[in-house]
Amino acid sequence: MTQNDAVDALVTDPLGFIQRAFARSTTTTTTKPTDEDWGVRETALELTRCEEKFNALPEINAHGGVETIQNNALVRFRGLVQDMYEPEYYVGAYERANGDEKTWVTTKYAESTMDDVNGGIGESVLFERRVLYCVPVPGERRWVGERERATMNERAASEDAHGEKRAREEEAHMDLYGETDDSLKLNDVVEFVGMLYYAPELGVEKRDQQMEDSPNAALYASSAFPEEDASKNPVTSLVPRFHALAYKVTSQNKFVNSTPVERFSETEMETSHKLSPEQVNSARSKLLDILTNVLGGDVFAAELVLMTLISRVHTRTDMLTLGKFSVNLTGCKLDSCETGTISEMLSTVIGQVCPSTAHLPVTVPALNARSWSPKKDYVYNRLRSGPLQLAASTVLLLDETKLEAGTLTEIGIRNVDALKSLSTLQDLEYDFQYHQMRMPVDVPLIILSDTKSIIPADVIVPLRRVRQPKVIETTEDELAIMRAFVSGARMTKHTISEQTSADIETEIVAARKNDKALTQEVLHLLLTMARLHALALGGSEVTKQTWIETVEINRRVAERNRVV
Amino acid sequence: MADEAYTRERELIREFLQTFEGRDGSPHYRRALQKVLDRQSCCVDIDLQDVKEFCGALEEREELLDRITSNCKRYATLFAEEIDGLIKNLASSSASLSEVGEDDLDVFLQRHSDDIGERSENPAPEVLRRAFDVFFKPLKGTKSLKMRDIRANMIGHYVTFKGMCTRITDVKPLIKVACYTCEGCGHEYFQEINGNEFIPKQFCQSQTCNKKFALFIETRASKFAKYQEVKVQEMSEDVPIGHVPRSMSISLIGEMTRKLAPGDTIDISGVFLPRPSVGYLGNSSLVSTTYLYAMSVTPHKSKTTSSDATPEVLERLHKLRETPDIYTHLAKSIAPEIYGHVDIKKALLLLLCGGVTRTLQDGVKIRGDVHVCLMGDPGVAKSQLLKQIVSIATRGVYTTGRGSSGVGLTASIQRDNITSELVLEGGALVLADKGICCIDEFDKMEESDRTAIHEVMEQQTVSIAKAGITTTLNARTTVLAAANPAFGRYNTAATPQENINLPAALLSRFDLMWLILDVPDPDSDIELARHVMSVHREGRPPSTSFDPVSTSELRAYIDVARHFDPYIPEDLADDIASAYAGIRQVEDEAGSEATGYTTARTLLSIIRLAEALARLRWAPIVSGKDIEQALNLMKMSKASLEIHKSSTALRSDPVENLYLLLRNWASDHSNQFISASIVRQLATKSGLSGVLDACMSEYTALGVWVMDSDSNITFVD
Repeated sequence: MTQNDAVDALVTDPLGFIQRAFARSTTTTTTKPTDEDWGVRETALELTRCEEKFNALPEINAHGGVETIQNNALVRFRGLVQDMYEPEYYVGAYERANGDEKTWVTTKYAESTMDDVNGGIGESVLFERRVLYCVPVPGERRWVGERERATMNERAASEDAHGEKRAREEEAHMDLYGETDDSLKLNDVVEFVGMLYYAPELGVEKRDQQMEDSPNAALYASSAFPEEDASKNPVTSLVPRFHALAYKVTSQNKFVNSTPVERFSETEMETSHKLSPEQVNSARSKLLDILTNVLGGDVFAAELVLMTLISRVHTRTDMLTLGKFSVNLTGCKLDSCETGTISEMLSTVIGQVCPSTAHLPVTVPALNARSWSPKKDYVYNRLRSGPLQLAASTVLLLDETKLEAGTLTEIGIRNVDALKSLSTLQDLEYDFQYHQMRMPVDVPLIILSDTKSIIPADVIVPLRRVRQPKVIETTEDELAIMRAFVSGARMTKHTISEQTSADIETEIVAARKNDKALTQEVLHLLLTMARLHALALGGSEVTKQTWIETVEINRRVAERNRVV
Repeated sequence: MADEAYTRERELIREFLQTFEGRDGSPHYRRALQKVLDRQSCCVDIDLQDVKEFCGALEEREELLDRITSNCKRYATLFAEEIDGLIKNLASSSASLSEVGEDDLDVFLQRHSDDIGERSENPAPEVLRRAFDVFFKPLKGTKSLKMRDIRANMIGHYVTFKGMCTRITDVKPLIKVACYTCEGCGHEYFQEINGNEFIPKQFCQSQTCNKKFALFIETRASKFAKYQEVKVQEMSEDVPIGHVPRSMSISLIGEMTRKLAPGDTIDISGVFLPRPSVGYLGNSSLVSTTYLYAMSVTPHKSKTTSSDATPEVLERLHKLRETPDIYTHLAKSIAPEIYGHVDIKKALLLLLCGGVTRTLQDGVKIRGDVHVCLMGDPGVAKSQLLKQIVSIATRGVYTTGRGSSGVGLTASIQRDNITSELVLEGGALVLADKGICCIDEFDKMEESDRTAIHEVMEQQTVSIAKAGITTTLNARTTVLAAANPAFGRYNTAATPQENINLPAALLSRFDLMWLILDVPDPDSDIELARHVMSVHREGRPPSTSFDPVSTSELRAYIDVARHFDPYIPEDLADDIASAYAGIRQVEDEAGSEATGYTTARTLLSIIRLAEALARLRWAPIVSGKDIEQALNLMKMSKASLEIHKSSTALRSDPVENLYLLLRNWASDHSNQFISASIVRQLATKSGLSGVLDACMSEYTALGVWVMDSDSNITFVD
């Protein structure tokens, strides 16, 4: 069988293909089979390299719901790793008695056996798999991956009817096989290829009743912690199970301007966008135009917001988080007669160009209501998500304009601390009750407030409005190019030449003579801004000119703060 | 495997139990069995170390240990069965049995065997009589696994790992043998139960009854074991970044129960087993849950994890120790991303090493912890330094003066939600016992904590007298504090006292105070610019500068260093004394201008710093150089506070100063001769020992004095 035939066989009948591969490798019945992949993984990887076949695979997120997918059919799935469960031990292979003849059968990559096992099974071996809990990327915009959806003609029709309603149901238990590595991390955006298992007969409305009196519930309640067992093994209608053959850590930015095959084959996360200078110019000016209009005609503020949108943590050491850039726009409170709020409008337009956004109003009741960062629930042995558990490069918009005086509870104080560390260090403390765990995050932060925010930001700019904030119209073509520009600029790797480096060093030494406030921290900020300034202009190299312009931007920020 | 195959094993086990002799030469296990028989003990601990020694003696036994560890549950049963056999042959020491008295089960069993005697088609299983459990204890020096590394291929194996207890059930009875009585004929049945579920027998099988009568469980004659289930979570240090800690279910039986509480850190050994799935599988996914059958559980008293450095690591550390000027090298390795501030980093390094805590004969303790207070303008990376220290320290707690938890820094009484009992909850300082507590925003500390911290910093305890609870908690904590100046920024026009805004009593408890100001200076500015540029260009500090020691290596090095308890030899005591007197004198002269609060505590500080420096060299004795460096560091610390003066007062030549000092001493004492020891004392006292040699040779050359071979000098008039 050639590789090509193998790929075809895998696509048409994945479970059959796996079973045959298993049978070929276990010709002897005397030895117990071992936990291998029998060449299945290689074939799956080959599939990810076949442009046509791979693109043709249905993508679950793009679908109107998992109901339309046939069980155990090969599909693609994209999600955020929200929680990681304990490894699972399962009967990976067992002896099937067929008269006198016994053959080994595997259940690897499958939800259940193909036989009726009530009669009991003969010899069996335990294999191990890892289970992840995946959810759709929080705050993801509907246009993400649309291009790929369009190629899947007839199925796309059902999408609108279900899309939003089913959103929460499209989370899945992800079974990973044969891996000893720890390459997948919490909050990674991952693209999977594998089989989905979903039992539609157990409808959502029946689930509570089913949970109570299904025989499964009793079966799993064999440990002393029944709540936990139930939460780890919910019926498959509630949370479908996905058996992964291959996966790839990716970034949502990649869904804007690359194909599935490209995403699976690329090894570098950092790329540069493929736009022509003219395209960059038009994208940039249109984007600034939109932002300026929303911000009531303040071009300078719009430029800073653009810099935030394309910021990304590019280097992280024990102590330093480089590349992050947060901005605090003050004076964003509108008079009551004006329609809408700046934060709503800003959220709308950012959502049009950035793959995912989160918009959180900061008020005393909201802060006190619940923990914003994820918290371990030991009763259910699960990580309870919080609004701050976000995928990398999700733009976080905090609306502080409605904040009023009030008393923060302990939860509220913790939430403010969490926001502080998010802004200053780009890490978030997860509450594991007995200890705290710091998780690195990468969330560009924009804070809108009336006066200086309670959360420290890298740059604070008083907004200078000259006209009514408004959202202006954009065409589809304009949107497409702006999205490509923002996502591309974000992932761009910047460079600083040796000569420029030396020049900037000289500038710094000269500047420090006159300005005592130019501390190490300020210098880090200035260099980050220089990088973003270069990227915002569509380039990738920081030059001396960029540096001079950045210093000027910084001076204007300081000036604005003095005048107001 | 068929039972016959174990015959050989059984023989070996029997031989082991009967013949193995402990270190004192006594038949260790026979004694243990006797205890079981006498009802003084209800478990037999088999130390795998003993099995190893037993196996090592003869080649043919060699594989026994491996077989036990890889098929542990089966071997536990084998041991138990052999012990049953051996116990039968032992005579109970009658005296002790009568003391304990026979229990219901004994009476019942006696009656049972009398009753049915020969017609026992359904005899009571051995398990029913068995009044003990067999537990294997881990080999000495077994390396704990990470919970993450326990995988499918270890099912059935004996594993040892470390974890933290998160959830715990009540101790419940677990039925091991069910005994039934027929209500018709009184016939008795036994059913041995393995696992968590069983199907009860329902009808009497005897011919007289003919299945007409129901069976009742006789709880009095059934056997129950104490059973407790516990959840253990992976240690946070074993969790890779970006991952969720794993957890595992642990079954505790018999004597293993009631040893743990949530939050305990434990070393645990046992058998990793799949939970037998009972009943039908339905359309289930054939998933089996796993648990650990615990054989040995040891809670850690303290949460400190002493890193057991492997020989390879130790070798690297020894090499590291040979580095010239290890002091500066290690100091620079603290937060290499923060450029400069070498003196402060040195102070922090000494804080990590600490001095020696001494207990005097009358019970008075003198702390060894080196407390440091960093002050400075906002934005000079104080917080980053603090966080870095927390990550280097084996045990570090980071908190802010405005502790948000309500527990505060010291301790508080809280009402437990579940039991509604009053419980004592330790604050950050108590939690950091034997570690380092980093307190940010020290100046914004609440008044109540501020009073309590006096006690913590000197007596190293926290006393509580609240809500009917009076107690003293240990808080042997090193304090690293960071404070902002009183006016937000350091006001060079104001005196240091005005800037510091903390009571003198509290300040005197710090061994070192440091004012961090970012002062422009062309040379260091170039370095700083280069540093920042390099970090942004390549994501790391310039490679030419130096190769920092990694955090883990630094931690290991300090761990080793802390095991040394250096002392100060008598001949150096005078030097310290005169140096102290010198500092006092200088302060006296300065009057109200004085920046420090030199008290007897300062003297202790010098000793502590010197000890810390000796530890850093892994030396058992403090050397003169250590003291010199300690004094130097104190001087730098003072100088940092006097920054506003240094700009105005021109520093005079230290060589000349020393000359004037000696000259004055000579005229004061009307003595032209000054002995070498006095010269040295005077120099140390004024902090000028560094220029002593230069001064001596310079003025000898000028012919001002004559120096003899013993370095005594005589002024020439």
